Amino acid sequence: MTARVGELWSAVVRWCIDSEQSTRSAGILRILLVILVWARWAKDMRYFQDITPFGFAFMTAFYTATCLMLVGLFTRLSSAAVGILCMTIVYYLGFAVGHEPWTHHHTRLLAHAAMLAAFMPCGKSYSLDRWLEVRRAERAGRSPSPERGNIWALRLVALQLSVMYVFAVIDKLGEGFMSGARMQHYLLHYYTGSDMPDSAWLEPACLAFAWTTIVLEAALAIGMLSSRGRRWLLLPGLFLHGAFYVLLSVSTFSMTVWALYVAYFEPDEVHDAIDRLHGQGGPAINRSA
Amino acid sequence: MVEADAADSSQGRDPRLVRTLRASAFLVLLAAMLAGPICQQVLEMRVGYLRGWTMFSGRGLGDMDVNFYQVLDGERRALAWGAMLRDDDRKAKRRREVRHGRDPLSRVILSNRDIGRVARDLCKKLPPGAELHADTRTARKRGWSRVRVFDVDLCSTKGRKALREKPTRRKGARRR
Repeated sequence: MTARVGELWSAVVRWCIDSEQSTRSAGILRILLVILVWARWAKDMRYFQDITPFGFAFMTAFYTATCLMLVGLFTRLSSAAVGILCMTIVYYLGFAVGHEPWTHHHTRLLAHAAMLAAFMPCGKSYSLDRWLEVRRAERAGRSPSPERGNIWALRLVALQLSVMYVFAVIDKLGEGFMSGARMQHYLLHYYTGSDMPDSAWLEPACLAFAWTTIVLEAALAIGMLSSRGRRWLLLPGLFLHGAFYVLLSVSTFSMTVWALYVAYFEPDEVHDAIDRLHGQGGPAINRSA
Repeated sequence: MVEADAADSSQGRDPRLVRTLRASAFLVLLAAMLAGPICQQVLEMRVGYLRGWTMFSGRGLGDMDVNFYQVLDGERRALAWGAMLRDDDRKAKRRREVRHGRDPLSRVILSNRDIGRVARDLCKKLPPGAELHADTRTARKRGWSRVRVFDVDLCSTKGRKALREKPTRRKGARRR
């Protein structure tokens, strides 16, 4: 029994902090995060919107850091800067200064992910840093350093998503949501107005939607962490967030979750899949290249 | 891990120190990640910037579901009032008196004052001698509030006065 607990503990520690894998997932996530950061905040970051020295400095830093992070130049530094800027936007300008739209859940999730990206080896793939390394290696007549790194921060992104799902489910375990009434409220708020349709289907349909959401979110929280679960839950998860996007007003939330799903997959599997996509042989061909 | 150690060693770093720092950072960030939702949702404490994941928990709260009835010669008939006013709203330049939903032609009622405004528009459309009654319920976190019934003619002075009165709830009142 003790031995089994020990084995389990070792496996957990290995998964959390001792995993050395491909950096392509981190590279992909880096690019997607910058696009999402721009989609959410760039429209609020134009010089004429805050003509103060702080505003000028902040916006200059924002565009410099995000541009560098997107192309992957000085990636460690630029991703750290983007993480700090995003956290500043949410926790200082949002919560402390009081710009309410920047305190919403979708902005917090995005800021947390951007901050975690700063701890990833996200410049080792799909970046100018990588390109420069390849050129240096060619000149020196050696093979470039492998696209590998410790992915503990990528694990934290996966855990962040699961934590979000768990607490979203906890929030829904109240009388209002479980009875389907909250779904009726959303229907009223977004679609019908106060003259709700008089249909016998309405209450059962809202009840079914409510329970589907609860069960699916609970399953995603746990199931997406296992490879067998991902096989069954990826499409329902993508569909759920797609539905949120087209049915409600969730801003960048759905796209952020879609992007962060990359973190649930084992980076070596993603690497192999990309290789196969490019016709570069079967699994594991590039692991030690 | 062996690979990680080798990489750290080759870069002149103490693998054990690096691993300890990494583990510490992992735990600190994980704790920070959990602190907000545990404080807000489990311990029900409101601590500064520590927030939970309660997406959409406030959306739509306070909105009212309202049924209007036409009462004529003792016969009570539910009105599809949204559709009745929709054409007017579409034509009218002014339609900002009552807050509209995401769909700009759906009216979202938030208060008895809003009910009065909608009633005023509906009264113009009723046949002579007809009365306008209503029942309402409000979206709350725990579901719908109890139904409030207005069994007086909302087109009359008495009805308008009833809208200004504090709620008197009828237990077990039924909707249409």
